[in-house]
Amino acid sequence: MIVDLGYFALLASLVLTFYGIFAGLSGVHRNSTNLITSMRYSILAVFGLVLVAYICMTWAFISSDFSVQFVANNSSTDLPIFYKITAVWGGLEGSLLLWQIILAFFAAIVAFRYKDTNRETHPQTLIVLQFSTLFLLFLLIGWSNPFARMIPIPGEGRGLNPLLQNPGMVFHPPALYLGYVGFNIPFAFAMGSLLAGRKNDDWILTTRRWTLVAWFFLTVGMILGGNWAYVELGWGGYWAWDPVENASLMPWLTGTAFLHSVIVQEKRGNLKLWNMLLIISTFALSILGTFITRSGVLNSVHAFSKSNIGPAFLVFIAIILVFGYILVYKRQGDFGARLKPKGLLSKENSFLLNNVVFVAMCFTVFYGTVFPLLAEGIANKKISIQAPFFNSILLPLGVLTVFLMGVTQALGWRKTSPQTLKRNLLIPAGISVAYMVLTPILLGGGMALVILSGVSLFALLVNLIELARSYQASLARTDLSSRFKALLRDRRKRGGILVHLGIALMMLGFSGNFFGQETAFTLYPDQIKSFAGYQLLFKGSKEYQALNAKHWAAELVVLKNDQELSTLYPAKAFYPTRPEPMTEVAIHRTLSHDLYLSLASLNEDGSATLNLFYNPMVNFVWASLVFYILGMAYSISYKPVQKRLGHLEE
Amino acid sequence: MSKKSIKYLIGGVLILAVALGLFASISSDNLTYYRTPGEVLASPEKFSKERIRVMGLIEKGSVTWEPAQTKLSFRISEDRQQFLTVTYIGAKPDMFKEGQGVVVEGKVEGESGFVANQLLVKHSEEYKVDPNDHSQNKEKYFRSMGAQ
Repeated sequence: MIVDLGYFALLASLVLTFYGIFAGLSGVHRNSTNLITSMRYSILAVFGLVLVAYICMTWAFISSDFSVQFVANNSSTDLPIFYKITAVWGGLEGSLLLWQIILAFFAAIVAFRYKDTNRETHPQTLIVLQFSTLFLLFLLIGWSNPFARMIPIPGEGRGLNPLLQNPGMVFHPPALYLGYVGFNIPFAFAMGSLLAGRKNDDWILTTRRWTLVAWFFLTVGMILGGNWAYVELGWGGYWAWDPVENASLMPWLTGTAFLHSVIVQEKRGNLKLWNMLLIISTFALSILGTFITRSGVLNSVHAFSKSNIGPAFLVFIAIILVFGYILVYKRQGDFGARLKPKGLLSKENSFLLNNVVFVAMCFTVFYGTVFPLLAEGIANKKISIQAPFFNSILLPLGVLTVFLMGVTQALGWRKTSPQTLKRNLLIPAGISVAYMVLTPILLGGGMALVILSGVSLFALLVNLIELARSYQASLARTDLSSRFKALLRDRRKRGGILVHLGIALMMLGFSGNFFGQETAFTLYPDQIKSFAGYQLLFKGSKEYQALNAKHWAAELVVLKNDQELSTLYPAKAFYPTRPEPMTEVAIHRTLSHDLYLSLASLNEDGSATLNLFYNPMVNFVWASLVFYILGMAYSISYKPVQKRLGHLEE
Repeated sequence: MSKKSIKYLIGGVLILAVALGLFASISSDNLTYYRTPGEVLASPEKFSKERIRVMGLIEKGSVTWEPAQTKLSFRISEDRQQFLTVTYIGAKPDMFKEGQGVVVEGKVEGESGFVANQLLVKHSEEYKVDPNDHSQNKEKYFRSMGAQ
């Protein structure tokens, strides 16, 4: 009954979305405020209906209604209630429903928040948004209906994939979707602005926060995903250039380029055409990301579901690209630059270079991800492209962007004198060059490691000094309240610096991959293995129950210089609904490195075979999250002054 | 030539250079071809220098696991007629068992057949299991791991 209500709500929202698009189109055509208002309320109603559908789905999971195929495939009665609620997005159908509710929520905000501030382009923006809604509703009602029933009704569900029973995996998909859907908003405003024939930069200013939010969640989503892979998959790393990982990296790269290039348009009135093309590409790539993840077209450990929704996604991507590019082409006269840079050394040019590099990186990832498909489809040759390809191209490009991240901090708009550059960069550059020269001599280490960590250090120092300067001025105040107020000054700049610090820290963490160690070995009880300065003493096996899974663990004592540090329990977990045991890793964490242990097998003769990894600086990657959160809090709370370049100039 | 068209020309040349660079780097060391067990058996000497990937199903009864050396050997085939002997030094992956599809990456090394330094188990999407069978235990685990 409740399940039918959910499906009915989806059907009703499809009808309403059709109505909304129709009302919007004829409202614009006839210049009728009533019709536009009616469209806005229909968007609100669609949000309400999708919310109902989502609640119904959640209820089906909580009550273990296995007559619903999606519930039967992704849940079981023994599942803890928390995972029952999050299992809604544990499969294709439910994750589309999650996407739909985020989109409907965002659309409702846009429908009411900007009705007065962006009056000229608002209806067109909403119409574009509703086409995205329409696409998803078609998928939900037709190809991948989460409410579809199954007969006969099974007594027990097949259970949620144990890999997904992890806090990181619970929040990873919603974060990614918030990012993907987030980019839908600037895209809709950009298209709305083109459709309405507006020549100003309103859409950039209006969507500044949306872009920031989208970028933030995409970043957080990727880091959570990496963290999940690290603790759950047991191969010692967090990134493998897997197609699905690449799929999220592509919109992140163009999205990051967009985040920077809009600043140039906002401040200087340049790069208008470029920004249009970037946001179209970013949105199309985020749909492509979902297509790759969900269609199973590429062999991947992450593509949890295989289904036949692939063609629908490809059609939608084609529509976005064709529609977007045609619209841009038709309005190409509107994209003239206003304030051109004077000197070669200017923020504009540095941003431009940063953009070109980001797009080149995205192109590389795209090429490496799609090339094997093309080779198989066209030449019938099955090939595999792996880490060496991506590393050989993306590492130098990545180092270049990190270098720019430092240098740009010292550049001004228009032109910068070499003296300014020298004053601001001399100390950090000196320190990091000294580091890059001395490290190989004193400690050894490969080129890649030294350059990546050295340049990251440079960027870290420049941004740190810049941040310190900014706060120094604030703290010079005498009384406490004005000091506190001064802390909140200059929020945009400080936000940017904090995020950059996070990126530099993350890059330092990446460089740790170049001096990690790993080994596989077998130990009998009371034997000791020495590795990376540690000794591991195997005590024997142990059985215990944790949540709904029976664990069978190896007990290992971690020693350093005969001192007992901790006891690790890498385990095999047996979930009641799964035939295969899962590997549960155990990690001895320190600030500078992880000792990472995964149990390969407990053997019949009482021995244990283990994979052991020494992962330096891996925690820097996770720690960078703190900086993204702080930086975003600063940046988002800043409200851009509504000075419009158009007015400024004339 | 106008300033604008020079700009486009430079941009175009740059993009072309990057694309060509990508293509060149893909076609050299960074790309691994997939071969069938049959192809490898037909001319093993050919694959003693080139790193390749071979995909196949693990033959029943062919798995030996020597934990002390962390050495795993097994035979794979695609057509159940031509069997390639594979040796892998490293721990046994979770899903590794007879009848499972695997991808191995490595080279042919003389008498010992194919020596792999990468072993990927194809995840089967379909978990075929009787939902009422909750009898997971050690014995079953050993059997699934190919223990004698």
